[in-house]
Amino acid sequence: MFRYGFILAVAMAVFWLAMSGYFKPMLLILGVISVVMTLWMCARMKILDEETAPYLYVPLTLSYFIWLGKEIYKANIAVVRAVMSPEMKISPSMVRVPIAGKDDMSATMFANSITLTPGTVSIDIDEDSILVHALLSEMAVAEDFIEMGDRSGFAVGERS
Amino acid sequence: MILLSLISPELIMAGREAVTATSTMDIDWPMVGAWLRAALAASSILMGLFFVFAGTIGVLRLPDFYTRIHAAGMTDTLGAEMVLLGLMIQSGFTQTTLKLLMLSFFLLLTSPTATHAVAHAAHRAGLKPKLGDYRAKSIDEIRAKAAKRGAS
Amino acid sequence: MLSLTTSLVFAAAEASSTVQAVSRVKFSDLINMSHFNLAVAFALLVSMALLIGRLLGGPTLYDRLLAVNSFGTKTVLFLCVFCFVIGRPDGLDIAILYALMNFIATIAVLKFFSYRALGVSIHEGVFQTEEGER
Repeated sequence: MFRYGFILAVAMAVFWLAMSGYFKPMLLILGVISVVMTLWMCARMKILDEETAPYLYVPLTLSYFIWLGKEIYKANIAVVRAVMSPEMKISPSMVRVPIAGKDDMSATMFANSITLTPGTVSIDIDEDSILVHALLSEMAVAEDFIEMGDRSGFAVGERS
Repeated sequence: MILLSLISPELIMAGREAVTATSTMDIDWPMVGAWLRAALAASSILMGLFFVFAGTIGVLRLPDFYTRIHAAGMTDTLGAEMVLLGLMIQSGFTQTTLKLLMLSFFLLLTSPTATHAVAHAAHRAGLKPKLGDYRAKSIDEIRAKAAKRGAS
Repeated sequence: MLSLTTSLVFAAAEASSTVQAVSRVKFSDLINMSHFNLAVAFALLVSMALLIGRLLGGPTLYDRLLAVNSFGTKTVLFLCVFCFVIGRPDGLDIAILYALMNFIATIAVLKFFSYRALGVSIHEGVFQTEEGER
C-alpha cells in the first residue's frame, strides 16, 4: 500500500509541475498541499492499490497504443468509406467476444480498445464475454479480436 | 598523440571555416524548415477536419442509434487526435505540447468510456438495434414517395 | 584516442550552439499560421452547427446524449484551435478542464436517467423496475 501511495505521489507531483510550469515557492507549496490532501483522501477511501496507480505499466501501455493507432486508422478508413458513399451499404450485426484475460483491468482495457476502434462498440459486458455491435458484418468476427485481447492484457501487465 | 589532441581543435575549426566558405548558396534553411513544419501541421489538421466532418455527417445520416455511435467514435479518435497533432507540430517542444499531449491522452481514455456508458444505458433500457443489411434510399425512391404523398 | 574525444566534445559543443542559434528564431515569427487556424476554427463551428440538427431531432434520449458528447469533443478542439489563433496557450487548461467535465457530465446524466438519483452506488442495492429486478 505504501509502495502504491509513493508511486501515486510521484505521478501527481510530476503532473502538477508539468501543468503549472512555475517554480515559485508559493505555488510549489500549494502543489505539495494538494498532493498530500489527495493522498490522504485516497488512503481514507482505501483505494491505494494497483488499480489506482497503474503508472508502472505506462511504457507498455504507450507501446500498445502505437499498435492500436494503426488498427484505429484502418478501421476509420473502412467506416468513412461506408458512411460517405451515396448508397451507404452497411450491415449492422452483433457478436459475443470471449474475454481472454482474467483480471478486471485487462477486461476494461480490452473493452475500451474495442470501443476506441470505430466500427465496433462494446455494448454489454459480463463475466466472460463482451457483446459487440459492429457497423459492418465483416468486422463482427469473434476470431479477429483475439490478438487485440492478448495485446491489451499484456499492456496492463497481465502475465499468463 | 598528445600533440595531435592539442592541434585537432584548430584543425576542426579550420575545416569548419572551409565549409562555411564554400557553401555560398543562398538557401534560408530556417525558413525552409518552417515551411515544411507548416505544411506538415496544415495537412495533419486538414485530415483531422475531414474525419470530424465525416463523423458529423455520419451522425446525421445513419439510420439508428447504435450505428450513429460508430460515426461519433470516428470524430473522437482520429479526428481529434489529428487536429491535436497538427497543433503540437505548430507549437514545437514547449509546455503547450505537453498540455496538448495530456489532453489527447485524456480524450483517448474518456471518450470510449462515455461511448460505452451511453450504449450500455440504451441497451439496458431496451432499445433494440436494427440488424441486417441496410441501404440508403436513392433519390428516385425519395422522389417517388414524395410524389405519391403529394398525389394522395 | 584523446584527439578523437576532444574533437567529439568540440563537435558536440558546436552542434549545441548551432541548435540554440536555430531555436532562437521562433516558428511563429517565421510563418504566421493564425489565419489558417481561424479558418479551422470556423470549420469546427460549422460542424458543431450541423450536429445541432441531431441534437434537436434525435428520436431517442440516447441520440441526444450522443450528440451532446460529440458536441463537447468538438468544443474542446475549438478551444484548442482558438487558443492558437489568439496566441495565448494558457487557454489550453480550460480545454483540458472541459474535456474532463464533458465526460463527467455525460456519466452523471446517464446515471440520473438510469437510476433517477445521483447518490447511488452501483455495487450495492437492487432496483425494482417494471421488468423485475436488475
